[in-house]
Amino acid sequence: MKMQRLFQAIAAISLLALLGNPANAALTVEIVGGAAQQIPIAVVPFGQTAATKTDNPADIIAADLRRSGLFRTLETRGAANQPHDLAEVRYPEWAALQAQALVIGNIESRPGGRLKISFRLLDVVKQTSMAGLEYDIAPMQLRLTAHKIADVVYEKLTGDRGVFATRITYVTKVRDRFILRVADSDGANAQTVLSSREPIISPAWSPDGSSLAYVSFEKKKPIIYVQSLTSGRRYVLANFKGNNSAPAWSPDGKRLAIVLTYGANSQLYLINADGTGLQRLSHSRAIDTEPLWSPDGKWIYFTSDRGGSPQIYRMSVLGGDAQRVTFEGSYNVSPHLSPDGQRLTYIQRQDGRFRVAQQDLANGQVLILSDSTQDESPSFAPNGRLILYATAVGGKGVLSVVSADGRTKQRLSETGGDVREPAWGPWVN
Amino acid sequence: MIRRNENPLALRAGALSVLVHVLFFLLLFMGFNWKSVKPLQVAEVELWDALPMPTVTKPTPKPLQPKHAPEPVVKPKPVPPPPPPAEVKADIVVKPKPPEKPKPEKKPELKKVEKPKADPRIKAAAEAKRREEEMKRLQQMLASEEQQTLAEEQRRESQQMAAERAAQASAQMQGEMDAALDRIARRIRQFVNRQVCGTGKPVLTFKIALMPTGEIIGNPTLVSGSGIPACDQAVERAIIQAQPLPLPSDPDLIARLRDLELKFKPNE
Repeated sequence: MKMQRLFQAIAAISLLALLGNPANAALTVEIVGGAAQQIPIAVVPFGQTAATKTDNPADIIAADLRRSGLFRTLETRGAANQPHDLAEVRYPEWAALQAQALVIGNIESRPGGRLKISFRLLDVVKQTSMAGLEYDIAPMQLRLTAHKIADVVYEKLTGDRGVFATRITYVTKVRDRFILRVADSDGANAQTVLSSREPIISPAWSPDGSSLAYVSFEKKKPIIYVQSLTSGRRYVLANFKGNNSAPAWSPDGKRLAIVLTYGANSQLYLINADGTGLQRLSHSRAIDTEPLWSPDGKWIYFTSDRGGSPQIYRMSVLGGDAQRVTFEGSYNVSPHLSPDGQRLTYIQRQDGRFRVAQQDLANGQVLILSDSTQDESPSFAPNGRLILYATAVGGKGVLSVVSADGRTKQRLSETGGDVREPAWGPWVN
Repeated sequence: MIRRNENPLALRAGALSVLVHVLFFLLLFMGFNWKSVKPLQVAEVELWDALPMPTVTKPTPKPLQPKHAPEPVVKPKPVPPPPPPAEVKADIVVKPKPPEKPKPEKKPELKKVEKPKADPRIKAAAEAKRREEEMKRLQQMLASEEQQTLAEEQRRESQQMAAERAAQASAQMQGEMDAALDRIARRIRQFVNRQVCGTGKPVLTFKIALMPTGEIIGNPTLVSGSGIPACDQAVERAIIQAQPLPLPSDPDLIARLRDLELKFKPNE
């Protein structure tokens, strides 16, 4: 009898354990990782009348999002539903296309030749509105406005601040002239800052994005200038004996690190932004060049051949010994730090190929991001998600962007010329 | 005819013999009754009539006999009348006896003497009978006990088998449940975009209620977020987009899968 009861009890317990009580015991499903790489999004062409006929912001927005590597933009031209405002949206049709988000908008003319651009970001899955804004702009601000809309969409869906409304700078050689340009982040809307028959190299953005420091050979020797982008005025920052090169702004914009051959070899110096207070930083018999400030302002990263081959080192802004940072490969140059200071991008030569590399400074892991052969001057976007660099195609330099995970690569729209020395500008409030 | 020729003592002896027999039977009867113990719970045995136990109805003690070896000796059943000469043919035997007349006086003595002579036999017979009865009873008891233990064993075995079957069924059910949960996890994972969940190791939990079709009732409820709103929203969209979630065909399993807690570790 006892045994019988025991068996009954065991059976009852196991049955109970198995069945549980569905009313109050929810099963747990653990989902580790995620297979989706991109957010499927549809950007419907903005509604506009003949009077407001311009480039459609939808194309610019979609291209921005696509270039980020985080979005998969869906073809919208053939869709039956072409909404321009909320009432016209038929969610099921977009859900059927697997869209998670939908961008719709409208352009209206305003008195004085101005335009009103309105847009809405819609969550197709939850059928809710996530964002909606209106801009009153001059027609020439249309592209910038489209980039701003892309930034809003990007931030809403990824949580990171977008970089589409930022600017980039680069030097291009058109025929026999060297031209320093500033363009939108997609390479469009380029404006000339300086044009010269002599080389222009090493443009560097001031932290507030208002000025550029660069090296110009217009006086037949490399001299460092700082030029305001708003007024166009410039001044000589460093014109010492020998070569003056490779300017880099401190995070607070008050000082710059530069390279002088003042004494003998190229050595690192610090100088105030007004050209005063020169101070030697490195004291080596090797070539120390390409300085870069860490985001916390405490370290200077630089390239040196003090170990026998060009490698990246760092030293305190207060001077002292340098520590080697790169160890993989025999040639690592042109360092640039991510905004959080945790990753370093540089050019690595391997088997005769110069490619963009990214190194995790915490664990030293190196990821080669590009698959070309002659890359140069990589720089992080302000959100650290993208890296801008120049690469050679058909013997000419072109601008390229690669996502920090290496998944997405795209060439920017600059056409003609031989583009070199790009640098991604900061966020400008 | 014969009886007329008998002497009166012979009658007395006969009466005495009858009396002794009566006493003997009485003794036997009483002894049997007093000794008897209440029969064991035969009712319990009946419960198992349906089981493959055809022998249950026949309380044959055969298999048990070897255990009680002394009994076979008890067989000599007869031993009925008391007279020393051939008891069965008493009448006939008595006939030639008349010449031995001098016995009349001794009859009373004979009575006394015969009695003790008859007792051991009677007793032996009675004992034998009693032992036989006892043995029968014991055999019966043993048989019933044996049946009982046999039945008990069978019951235990069947219960054990039932428990094993239940355990097997539960293991199978658990396996099916695990497979169902895995299918659901894989389905949702397809839609989870960890690119928007930062560089740390966020963990977020949602609760959902499912219809038998795999559709979610209402919206997923965020139980604990990752601290990154875009990540939380992306995961919520992933859950909704994964509809209908794959469910097994077993209604019991579907019932168990009605309420689910989804724990996400997108960056692991």
